[in-house]
Amino acid sequence: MFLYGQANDQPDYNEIFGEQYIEAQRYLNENQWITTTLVRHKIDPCFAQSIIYPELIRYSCIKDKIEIQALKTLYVQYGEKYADFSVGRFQIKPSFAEKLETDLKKNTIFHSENELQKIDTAQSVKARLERIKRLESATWQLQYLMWFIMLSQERFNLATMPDGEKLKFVATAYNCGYNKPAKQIIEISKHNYFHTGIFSGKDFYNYSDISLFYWRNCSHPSK
Amino acid sequence: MKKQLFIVSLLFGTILQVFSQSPAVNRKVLLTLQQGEIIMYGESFLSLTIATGQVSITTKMDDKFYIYKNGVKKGPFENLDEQEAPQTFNQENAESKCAVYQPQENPEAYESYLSVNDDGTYSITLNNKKYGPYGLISHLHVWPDKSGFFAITTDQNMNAFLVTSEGLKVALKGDVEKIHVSPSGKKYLFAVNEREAVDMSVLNKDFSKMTQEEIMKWAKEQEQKANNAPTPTSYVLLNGTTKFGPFPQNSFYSDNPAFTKNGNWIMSVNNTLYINGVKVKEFTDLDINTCQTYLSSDGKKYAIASYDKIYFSDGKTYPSPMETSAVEKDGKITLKWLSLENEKDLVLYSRDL
Repeated sequence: MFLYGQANDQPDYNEIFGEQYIEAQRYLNENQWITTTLVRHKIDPCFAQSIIYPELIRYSCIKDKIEIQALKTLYVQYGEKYADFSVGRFQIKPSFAEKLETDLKKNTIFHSENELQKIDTAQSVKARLERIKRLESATWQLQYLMWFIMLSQERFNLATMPDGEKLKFVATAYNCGYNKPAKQIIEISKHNYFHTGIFSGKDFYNYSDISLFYWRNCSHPSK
Repeated sequence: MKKQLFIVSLLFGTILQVFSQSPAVNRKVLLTLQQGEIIMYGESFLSLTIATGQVSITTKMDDKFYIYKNGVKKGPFENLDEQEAPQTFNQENAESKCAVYQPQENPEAYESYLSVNDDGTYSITLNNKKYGPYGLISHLHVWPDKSGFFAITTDQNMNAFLVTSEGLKVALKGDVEKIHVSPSGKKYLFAVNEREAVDMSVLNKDFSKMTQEEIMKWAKEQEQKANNAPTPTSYVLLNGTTKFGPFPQNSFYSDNPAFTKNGNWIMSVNNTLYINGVKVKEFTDLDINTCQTYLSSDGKKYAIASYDKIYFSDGKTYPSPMETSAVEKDGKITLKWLSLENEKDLVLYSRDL
């Protein structure tokens, strides 16, 4: 169940994004497996879903306008130079997935993750083709999100942060890249860089504010 | 005699060679990127007009933008706003890019054939004849010449049936996936996903009157029943009478199975390609996307485009098709595709199926 309302002078993103906001919410409501999978992995569904909520909104805005077959081919063929485009509802970039896989594999804490150990992180056509296939799968998108949350908790000292700040921090890191220093991520979280078009237009929003807005209005039994 | 044999074998060999040859591949370099110049990441910056072989792309080099349109390069631009709007993607193009037949759907077109009866059931009236009553009509298709119809109906117990104006009534025993009608408008096919068996008696059970032991015993029985129940499968139904399957449950999606634009039909199950219901080939190193599968008019030759290669049914493969289109002329299908070679040459290939 989701409740709506404005809090602390925050913009009402439900009103701003209208149908796209509702469609993003509908997607989560219709895909309860996302919530159950998160609960099974002991991750707060509201927290995790808030991180990707702005991306769900963006996907709803652009889904009928995107054609990324050519970009997927270029990435599979040439790798890094063509790795900076977003795939699927969670709008994960191949470059993000590649970095996450490599960092997780280096970290001994994640050595027990069987699915992770099976992933080929070599710079090869085969490995990139497999990565694209993973990014096209909703199950794998969620897996990447869960790994990202786990790695963020491991990498940054989040335990002492109040919940709202923690969410803003992790959501910003998801959007701008977690490989930046914490100080820089906090600074970025204060600015409006997020847009919902294919190309940057005139309207920019604060990514982590949208996440926070969703989180404040989200209620799962676990919250 | 030896000489005659030699000539015969030479002739035979030549004939075999001619017949085994793949169609010629034409290669044309459309443009060459400079060192360090890359095709823009923006999701809609690439468009290829197959008919003319012209390509429009936006590139980036040293933080400056360039636009190639009809063979002419413009730029550098500091930002794209300075320049005319780049070729943007439109849904019409996307649909025509998909190899399968995707007609525009207009459910309202059939509303005039439907009527609600006093008891809340529905009827179909066609050529002054009334059909039904039906509990619910989820899909209706009337033949283009209006001589008949098929419909998917549901009874009071939520069981789905296929019914036709010819009197056919087929129980579907599951959920109907997207319905596809052939370009001629008179053939149809769809996949059905069987449902898990549900024990309706559970709805009438009063657990408050049962002891903990009884509930545990009942739950164990239910679990055993579920374990012994046959695994639900999926199947494909063509024209209401020809069934293909069973296949693993949920093997199908909206464009799989589907008719091709030339009236054949294809499906892919676990990367095995079926053409007109016949198993053609199982692929281990290629993912079949029906939207990227192209068939000859007779359904005997095909090509499948994937992210890393394009495969032709004569066994030939070509690397990395960025964008693929099929052009049909006099019943002959020619495939055209773009490939970026050596990170600089944007090449247009074409080959008959």
